[in-house]
Amino acid sequence: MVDVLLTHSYHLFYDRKQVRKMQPYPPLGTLYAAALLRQHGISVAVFDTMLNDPEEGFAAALARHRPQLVAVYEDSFNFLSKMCLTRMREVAFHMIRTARTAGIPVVVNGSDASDNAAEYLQRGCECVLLGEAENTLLEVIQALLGPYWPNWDRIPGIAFLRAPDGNLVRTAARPLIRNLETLPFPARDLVDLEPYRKAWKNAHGLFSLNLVSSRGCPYRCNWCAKPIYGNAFHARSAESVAQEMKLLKEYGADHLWFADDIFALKQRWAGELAAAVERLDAAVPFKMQSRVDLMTRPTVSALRRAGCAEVWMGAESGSQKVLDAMDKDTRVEQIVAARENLLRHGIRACYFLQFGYPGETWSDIQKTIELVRNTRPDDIGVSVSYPLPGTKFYERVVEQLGAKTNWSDSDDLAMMFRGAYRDEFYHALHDALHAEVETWNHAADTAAHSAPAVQELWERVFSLEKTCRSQTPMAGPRREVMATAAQFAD
Amino acid sequence: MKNKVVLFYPRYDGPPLSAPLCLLALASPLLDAGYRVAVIDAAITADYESRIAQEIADPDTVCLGISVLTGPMIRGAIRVARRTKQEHPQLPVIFGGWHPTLLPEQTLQPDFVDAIVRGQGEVTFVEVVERLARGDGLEGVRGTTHKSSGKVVSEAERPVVNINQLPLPAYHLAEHDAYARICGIRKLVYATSVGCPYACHYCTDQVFYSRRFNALTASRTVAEMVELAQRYRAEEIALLDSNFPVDVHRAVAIARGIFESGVRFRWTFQASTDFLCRMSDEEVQVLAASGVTHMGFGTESASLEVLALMNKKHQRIDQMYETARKAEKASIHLTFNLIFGYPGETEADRIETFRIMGDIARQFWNVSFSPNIFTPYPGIDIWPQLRELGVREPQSLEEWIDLPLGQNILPWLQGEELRRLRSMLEYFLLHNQIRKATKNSRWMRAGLRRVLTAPVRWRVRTNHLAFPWELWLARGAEKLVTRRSLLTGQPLGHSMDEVC
Repeated sequence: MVDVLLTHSYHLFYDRKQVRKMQPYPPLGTLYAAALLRQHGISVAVFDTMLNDPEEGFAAALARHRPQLVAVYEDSFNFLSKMCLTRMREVAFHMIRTARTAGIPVVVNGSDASDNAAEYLQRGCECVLLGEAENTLLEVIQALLGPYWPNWDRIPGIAFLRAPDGNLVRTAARPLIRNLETLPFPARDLVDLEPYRKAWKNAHGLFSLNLVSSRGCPYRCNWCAKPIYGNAFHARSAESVAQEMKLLKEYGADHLWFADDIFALKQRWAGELAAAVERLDAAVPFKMQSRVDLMTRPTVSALRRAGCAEVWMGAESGSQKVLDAMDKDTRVEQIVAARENLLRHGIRACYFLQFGYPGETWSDIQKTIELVRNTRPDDIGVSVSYPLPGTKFYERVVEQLGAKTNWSDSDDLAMMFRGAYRDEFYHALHDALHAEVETWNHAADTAAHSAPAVQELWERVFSLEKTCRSQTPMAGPRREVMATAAQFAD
Repeated sequence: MKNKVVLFYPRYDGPPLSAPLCLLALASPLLDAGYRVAVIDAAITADYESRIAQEIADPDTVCLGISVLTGPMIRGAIRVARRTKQEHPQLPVIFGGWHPTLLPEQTLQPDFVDAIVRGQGEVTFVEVVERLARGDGLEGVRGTTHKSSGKVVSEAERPVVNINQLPLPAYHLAEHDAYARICGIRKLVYATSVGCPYACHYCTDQVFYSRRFNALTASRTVAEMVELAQRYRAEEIALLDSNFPVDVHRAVAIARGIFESGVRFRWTFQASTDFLCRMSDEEVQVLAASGVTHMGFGTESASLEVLALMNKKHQRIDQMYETARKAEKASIHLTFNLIFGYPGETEADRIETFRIMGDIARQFWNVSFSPNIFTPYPGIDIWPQLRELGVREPQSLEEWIDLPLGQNILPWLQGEELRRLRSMLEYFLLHNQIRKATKNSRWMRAGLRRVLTAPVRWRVRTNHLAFPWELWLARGAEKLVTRRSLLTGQPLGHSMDEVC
């Protein structure tokens, strides 16, 4: 019997694209919360849905652990959880229902629950923990385990339904955690890493684990929503990050993924990390994401020393006009320079690309294709603009949004609003560009990756470009907020 | 040697906020100096006269100290002082607080007052008590005005001490349960600072504290507030600071410290309208997360001419909007205090204030108002001008009884002028109230409100006040909140006649 059963709703096998990719990671955010609870003397079990059946497995976990409370605490470091996929929402609702039926109170945290608190509360959870919530969870659980029913009004950072009228109440927003050193390492011992190891070894021949060195992002790209970690940037000490890398190396990881929104924002921190990693002999090849303007030569050389093998950058577009409209605050030349710096140090350079930003024309799209062909990134992730709740763009297109406001899984790529072209065109563009990049980076041995096959895909793009034009595209360019799934793609 | 001091807090109009902080603050250094202290608050002690008689019958009693604010508190102070002098002619009676400080000589005139402690009293009063306990006179005690062989002697001023050197007020002396019974909530008052850097002409603060912001450090404030909230199980702490956020960094550090302590309670404060604008939206949200639910702002007027007359040019109109916006984003309620009838204010100025305040209220749901008629407190520096304008200054301690906050003694605001202001005010408050409350009220009242909305809005916009049928109709159904506590935003029980 435990005090709290922590779980999350992302199940790999409900997301066909991720099954193909087979890169499962333990739910880092959930494990951070578990570690903090445990540090405060609360007994915790974790039911990890990533690879386990979320329906039968959850019922079995309830029976096994007989918790006093259930917390559906999403891994907000994983872009897949942040996509608010409807299939995963169904899983969360199912868990709430199951726990409620067993008479166990439930609390929920995650991007989708933060955006749509009422939906979750009406399903019967006691309260929704908004935003970054480790400390909120601790406070809520201490209150629920206490002798009196909690006074929800007093707890910052939650939403609840006020009795008896059932009005939704959001308490004061909780300030972000400024000193991340106060959090213990994620409780990876509470999940079984063996299935992950097997899945990785079978699919890729190596074992990858995830960690984070920082939270938040200070940049203001106007399509990006940050419901969990906000606009502030807080980094852990380089020393502590190197220690965790060392620990994961001891777990047998051959590869690491830093799930930071933005890794090594400061050049000096990158140098400190390199020094600490060398001192502890903690280097493991890792991938992370950053911005093109941060890939300066000193940073890149420090990253190399720390083990960096692959950098994903939000290149977004090859058109300066579109970058400016996004408030991206980068220049096309910087993309080229970053690519060269990374190449020189033998680090793979990969681009996130975004199509469909309002005001983007065929000539802008061609500039992006040009950029990709000229700089030859090692990989790309293509997505279409996606209105995320909480951005101004979402408010603006909310009337155009149909019944469907979320993608069902990460392969969906539906345009959620009226863009310059219809879905079909963007799908074709996605397929053609991906196929072309594949031909450079793999031996063109399969039919799908042969030059004629790629040419065929491009022909389809050109013909759809003429037939898929929207009758009434949104007027643009506007310096307003758009949201994208580019950061979520591939 | 005698070792006991009796402190009395006369009755103010309206229910008490909490235990009288001024007396608890005064008691603390006395306890440190080895004295026993009895604190009697008329608000919770119905038979306070006999209680005081009982306490001072103790032969160890050194003196009786009474704290007095301008207005009805003077009545109770006089009654108790007079009776004390009749029964114990040898027992010194000391007055202190705002009113005696502002008018020491006049207050000292009656024979039932022996001495005045002027300004900040914590240090001065201990010295006074020590002298009296030894049977000595008060010659040379800085910060006092006293009688020496029938003559009034005013000693030199005592410099204001850094309040970090003063101990925590003696909260343990107060009967917190009694206040909780009366208020319906366990609430404490506390002060993190005294003084305000501004010099608004209507305000007495500068006379006391010379425009110096004198504040506890953030760490001490956090430690004490958290400790008090836990020890006395307080649901709310109301800060009595004149202008809490003058040091913006300190204010945010206090909020962050309270938040990070994990101890959850509500707290409220008052401020001038410019300081919130110096905080980022995130910092205002930290205030909310730490438990701030209400902020009172001394906005007073939205007419630039009147603000200039008040020596309040530091306050800009856009800051009023920005303050409301930041507070709304953090879900903090706020009250704008308004002063009408300031000398030189015209009806056009009032219309401007109503227009801007009405506009702010339309944009932000969290805004309430507390309108007051200008009260000329003693000691403010525009008295020569007021006298010229025909304001009759009360001539004795007794006469000041009849000048509570909001009492209209302004010769330029009478008759038709006053009637029009009352109508405008009533329409303004009614407009804000029906706009806010239509959602969740019973259907008949909701229907009435719906009928009233359009004509009332038209009246407020166009200032047509003749034949006020909406007011007649609404008076039957609405209870207009005319004044609010600037500290907590709670409605104060005053009728419209008392406001104007």
